[in-house]
Amino acid sequence: MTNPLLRIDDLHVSFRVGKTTIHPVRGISLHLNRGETLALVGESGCGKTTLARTILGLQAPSSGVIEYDGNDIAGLDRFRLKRFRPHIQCVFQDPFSSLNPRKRVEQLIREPLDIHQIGEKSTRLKRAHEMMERVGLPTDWGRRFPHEFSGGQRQRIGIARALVMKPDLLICDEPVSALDVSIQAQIINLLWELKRDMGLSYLFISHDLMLVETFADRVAMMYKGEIVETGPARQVWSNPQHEFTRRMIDAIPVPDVTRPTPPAFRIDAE
Amino acid sequence: MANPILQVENLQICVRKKPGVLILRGVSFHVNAGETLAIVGESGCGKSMTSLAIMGLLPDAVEKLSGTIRFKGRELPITDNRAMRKVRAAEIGMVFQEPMAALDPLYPVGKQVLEVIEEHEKLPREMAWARVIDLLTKVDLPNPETLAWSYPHKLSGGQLQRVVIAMALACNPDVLIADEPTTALDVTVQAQIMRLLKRLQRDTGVAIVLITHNLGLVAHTADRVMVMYAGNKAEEAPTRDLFLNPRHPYTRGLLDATPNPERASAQGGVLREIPGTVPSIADPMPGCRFAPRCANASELCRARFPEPTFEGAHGYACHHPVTDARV
Repeated sequence: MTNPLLRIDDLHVSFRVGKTTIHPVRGISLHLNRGETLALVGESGCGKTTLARTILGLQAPSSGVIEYDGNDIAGLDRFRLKRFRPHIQCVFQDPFSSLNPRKRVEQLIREPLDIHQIGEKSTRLKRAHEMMERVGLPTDWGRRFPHEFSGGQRQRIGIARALVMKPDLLICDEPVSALDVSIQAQIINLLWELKRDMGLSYLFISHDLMLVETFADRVAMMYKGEIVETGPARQVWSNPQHEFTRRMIDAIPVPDVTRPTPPAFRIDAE
Repeated sequence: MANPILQVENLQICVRKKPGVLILRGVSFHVNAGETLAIVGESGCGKSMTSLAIMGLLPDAVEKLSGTIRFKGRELPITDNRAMRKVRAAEIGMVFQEPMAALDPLYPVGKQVLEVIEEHEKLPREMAWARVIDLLTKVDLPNPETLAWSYPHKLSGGQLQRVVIAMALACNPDVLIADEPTTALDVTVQAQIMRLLKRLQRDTGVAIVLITHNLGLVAHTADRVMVMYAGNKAEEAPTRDLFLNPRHPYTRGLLDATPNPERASAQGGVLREIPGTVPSIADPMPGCRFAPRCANASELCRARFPEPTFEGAHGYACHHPVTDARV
């Protein structure tokens, strides 16, 4: 097998809160192959967002290895980190708080290119418009402000802003959990198309195992700062190995009336 | 027909002083004693506004334009706050989405349950307190005597929601409105809370109105379902019927867009999506509000709003209903 795009080995992250030290990431090892969608699934507070922030260089690890395309990126200084950043981009959960309300959409999408001084000034706006079109936003809406867009459209803006840098790896941190079901499907399908057309790899963070089962190649189950199970999505769903995964699957209500009600919902046994 | 305990007829709610900007566009439904009715729909469809109207808690920015809400046959005075105080909790209880926001951070949780009891019943303090402990026990909270003196920030999200449920049921209401009661919780905690609600329903006979966007929850906890879209009732049916034979194209679209590992929905993309977005409430379109997103839509749909059609207990508002069953 070829080298993985991202390899994490025995990663620990801890930080001090007042007098106590908390330890949200406790020795995580995982890899993500080129062109793959790896879903990271866990409950709130399990450390999945801290892990994402650490990979993005927004949080320093206390120990461990993060290798991107064979290069260690865990201990990069500010200068090197900035040069590296275009390779990994991120789409955040809340499309309302992650966009500056005072900037026009085309400015927002252009901004990463300005910061990294990519391309000529004149061509940056053109690239922003191309990206808008690519994610399904009419380019003549470029002069509008974020509040004029719906939640789903704002998430498209967030995706355009991340992809304008032409990254190889996109980290999606709960990108659809604030969206309605019909809009969620639109965004998931958009991410799926973009991955196919642009050769992206995804680290997809979610609490929704049912959603990632339809979408991810592999799933890593995270529980209390550790990865407790990894495997092909289908296999994790149909044949969970770890107690935590089983407990979660038993509690997921599948929207299908022909299936038996999951044990965690039944009161007849009481 | 079973015995309706709550009846909503032709409820229209508009933005205050703007009768043209309708949030609820004439919604009618009923809740039978002891049953669970799920109200399903996406943000902005009017499901939360419906529950706030029943509780007499409409925000100042909106007003009732027409319609009646009847509880046990008598009309609820939903614009009269003093009269509604006697109804809330005593006859209709409510559980909100964010348990942390529903509780006062400055008082121990037991005191907050006590306050509900004392608002409605004249009881000696000791008896009322004993009832608080009893309620906290019934919602499966550990060490209720100690926990009653805890402040909200000491409790987990699931524990807080149990306290809110205890408050809602403190005066034995006949109807419990649960507005997205588990949306802020992890799935394992969600299952515990839903099981608790179902058990309390079995033991007390309380009817539950479950407002949710989670179709999985609906499939496994509701007796009947009402689907709302953009301020209208799109469809209502017994749960099994709705999932197997949805007649409204919106219901069908919603079911097909929901991730479900047990069926092969993958084709082209990953999920079957509903194109487009919900229309603005200020948009005065004369016909069906789902028409711009609907594959079945015709000129008729765009011109005239469809009257509800009933086939037994299954009703839908559509000119061109879906005819093939879901496989």
